[in-house]
Amino acid sequence: MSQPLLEVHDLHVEFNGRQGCVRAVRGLTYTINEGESMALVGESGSGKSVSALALLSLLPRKSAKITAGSVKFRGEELVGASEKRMRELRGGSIAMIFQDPLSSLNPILTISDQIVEQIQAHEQAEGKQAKERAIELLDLVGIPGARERAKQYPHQLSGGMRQRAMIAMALSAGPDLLLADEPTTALDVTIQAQILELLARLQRDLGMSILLITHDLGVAAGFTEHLTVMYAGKAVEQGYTSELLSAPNHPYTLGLLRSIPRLDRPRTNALIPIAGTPPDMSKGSAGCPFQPRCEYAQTKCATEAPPFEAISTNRYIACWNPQHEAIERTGATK
Amino acid sequence: MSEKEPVLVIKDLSVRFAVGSGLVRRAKGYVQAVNSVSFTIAKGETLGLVGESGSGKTTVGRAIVRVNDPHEGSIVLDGHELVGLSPSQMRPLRRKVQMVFQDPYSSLDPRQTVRQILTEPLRTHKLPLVNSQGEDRISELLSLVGLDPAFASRYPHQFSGGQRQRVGIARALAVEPDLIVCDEPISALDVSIQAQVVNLLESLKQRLGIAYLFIAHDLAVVRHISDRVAVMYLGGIVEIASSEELYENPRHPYTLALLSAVPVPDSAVEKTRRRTILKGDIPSPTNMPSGCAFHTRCPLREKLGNPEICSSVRPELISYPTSKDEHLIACHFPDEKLINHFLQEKDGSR
Amino acid sequence: MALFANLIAPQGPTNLSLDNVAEPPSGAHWLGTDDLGRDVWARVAFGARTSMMVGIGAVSVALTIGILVGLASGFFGKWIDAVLMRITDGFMSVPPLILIIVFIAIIGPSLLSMITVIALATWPVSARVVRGQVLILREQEFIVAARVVGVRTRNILFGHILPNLLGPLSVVATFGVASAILTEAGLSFLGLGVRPPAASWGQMVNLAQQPDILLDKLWIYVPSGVMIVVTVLAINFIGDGLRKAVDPKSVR
Repeated sequence: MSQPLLEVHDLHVEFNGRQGCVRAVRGLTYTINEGESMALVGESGSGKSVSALALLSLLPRKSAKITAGSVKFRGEELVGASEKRMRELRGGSIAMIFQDPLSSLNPILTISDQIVEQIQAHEQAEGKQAKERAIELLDLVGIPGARERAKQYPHQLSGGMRQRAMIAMALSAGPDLLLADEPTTALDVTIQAQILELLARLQRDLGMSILLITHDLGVAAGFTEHLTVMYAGKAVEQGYTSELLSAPNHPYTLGLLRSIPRLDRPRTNALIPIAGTPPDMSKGSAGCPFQPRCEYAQTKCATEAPPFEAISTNRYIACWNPQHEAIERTGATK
Repeated sequence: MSEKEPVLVIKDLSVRFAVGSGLVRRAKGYVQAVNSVSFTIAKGETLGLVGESGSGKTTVGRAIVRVNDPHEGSIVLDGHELVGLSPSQMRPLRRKVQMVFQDPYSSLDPRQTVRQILTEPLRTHKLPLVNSQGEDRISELLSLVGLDPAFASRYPHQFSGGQRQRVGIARALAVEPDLIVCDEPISALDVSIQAQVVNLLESLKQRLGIAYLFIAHDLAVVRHISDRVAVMYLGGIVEIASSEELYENPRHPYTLALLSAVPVPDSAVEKTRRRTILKGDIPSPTNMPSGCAFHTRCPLREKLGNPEICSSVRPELISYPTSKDEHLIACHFPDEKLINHFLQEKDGSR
Repeated sequence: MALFANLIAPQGPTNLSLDNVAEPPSGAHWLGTDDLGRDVWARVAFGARTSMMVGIGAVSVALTIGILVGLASGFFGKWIDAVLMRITDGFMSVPPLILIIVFIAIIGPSLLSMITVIALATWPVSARVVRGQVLILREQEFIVAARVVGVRTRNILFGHILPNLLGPLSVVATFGVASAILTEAGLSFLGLGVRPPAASWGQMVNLAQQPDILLDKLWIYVPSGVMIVVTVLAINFIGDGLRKAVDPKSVR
């Protein structure tokens, strides 16, 4: 397949609130091909979740807008597409799962009802057939005793089960692309491992592409081939996950990796924090948004925003002063 | 107090919560949140306490500061028994143990300035507001946690999450405690800020010789900051050892599973490591499994053909035979051969 | 606010002047006189006093009881909560109108009885609001932190919980004042409230029951009616403003 599944180019999203205009996404570009997975990594305020919601036109109409850029799904432009078309795509070819299944699932409908609703909305089946399909899906996502569980309500299921149910719902129309917004952040670590394993298996077996949004670099490492790092609404670094994590070029990525404790490094390795605090997203910035915290900043960085461009094969970066220090395998005690 | 004397000795601590209420609010039953937990913390030591939902780790922390009351067991702080004390008897002892909370947004009174927040502990314990050099204690505390003393006149909502957490730490330090219970102090902070707070806690430990009970679910952070680590599951400790030892040679099947579930930001490692993925959900404490609480999900038990004892008898914490330092494990089958065999099978690359 | 300064009425509100019966507004009497020759303007002015006293008096008493009950109930919980809430429910279950009428029938109508009975009918509302807020606040980590620090319970209640109640309470208070004024007006209208010769707006509106006053002598009752509406509106706006002013987060 020569055509990429999803192409996002220079996406800009703005919110108009009481405090004025917040530019939540200020330039995001990436491509996902069939069957591939990409992680979109960033902290709170980086714009990662907003960008995914924008893809599916799920942001509140009155206050949020895509102000620039394009989103092409199989070549079809989604920015500006009709609500009717978006409804066809949502849950159909593009599905989304969220962080907190308790608030994303309807508390007064049984699991079966919710999945059936989804199935019927995309004309996959009707009535009894739909119910059977729902049970099949619950089985597929590893819920034991699917037939009985289907009749239960969301609050009767544990966190991990609810997440599986949500995944089942998302899969009901056989989507080509799954957007997963922090799907395991609220779960215990052993349950997280289960869910990630499930997603990996489904991806292999169904040939689905996955956009995984997370703040956890470890989760990204275990799961995706490609990685885009976001900071203050912009993509700052992008490339193959394995290469990027072992030899990051952007000071922010480097800073992040140096500041987190890791099980595969000596425990006495010093944690080197990134100085300062994340920026106020209601204010714009002239130069690079990371500049105030960057230890490699140059004078240019404060006034001119660096463009997002290729630095080597399949490595993109928005930086005037990229670093080329590989993360040591064993690390020294500093 | 001699160097050897521990700051905290917990013995057979049990905490339960009443469930259900009638017309006059009488409890219909109990949930056992903490079940006969014992450990000690030495002066200036950091003990990490890890576990997932329902493990009871937060409840242990709160029991130590007497927010939750244990119904059994003993808590001895600097040689003083805390269980059974009345609030007024407890009050002077509160100078010795303080707490840092998880949520920077609700742990500070939104209506008080930082100065008022920090003055309260000093005033409550009738401590001087000015130190021996004649400097303002509030400014001293703020500098200690890396904040500009001029911030004293501000309100909490004017600060970022990381800064608020620092104020919370300053508040805990105000009474000069010997032990600080840190209840998930960094979970609510952004990743890039977490390291700042962790480093602050460590440097305070070096400077002031404070002991910490560091309660968290993030295993990598706990490993980094703790001298010893205790792993809890459904109200009981399943393994306790030095930080180095626990992460190098985990012996309890739950610890193994827990460690193998922690993601590492290195694709090569992630792809090749063998994981022990536990089946099923964490049981709710209201529905505690019989015998060993972990038996319903234990891969070792399955491997051994489901021995009877696992579902009928609760294992005690016993010393692991071959380790050099203290390494306790609560399992009926702490046999090294079995564990090694199990490890080799599951974790080929180690 | 202007209402407070209305003690400036040269003619007393109760001066009868049978010569000047039922005169329309004029230079000497700004709003004319009523059927007994009393100066309407003065009566409106003094009626304001009545309203304010009832409003603020009743709310003060109601709030005090409500806060004490709500704090105790919410903070200490268990049986204290159970007992206090049953008492509160008891008061709430009596229809206010019946309570008021019975009370007044026993004690007799007067300013004091009005304040008392309105307070008795309305304190449960503030108790519930306070209790609800206290239940939420109690679990906030800063309250737990205060306990860990060793702060005494009374200091926690008055130093931490009460200040954080000011927001919702100012809403309850202002609506309470407005509602008390309306209640007083209603009761006086029915003849159960402040009796003549004392002045009260409700009482004055009562006079409109006579067709000749209703149609020809509008100056006798319209001003009071207007004052009631204006006052209640003004209080609502003040309440809104108070709520915003008292919240430290809105400090700019």
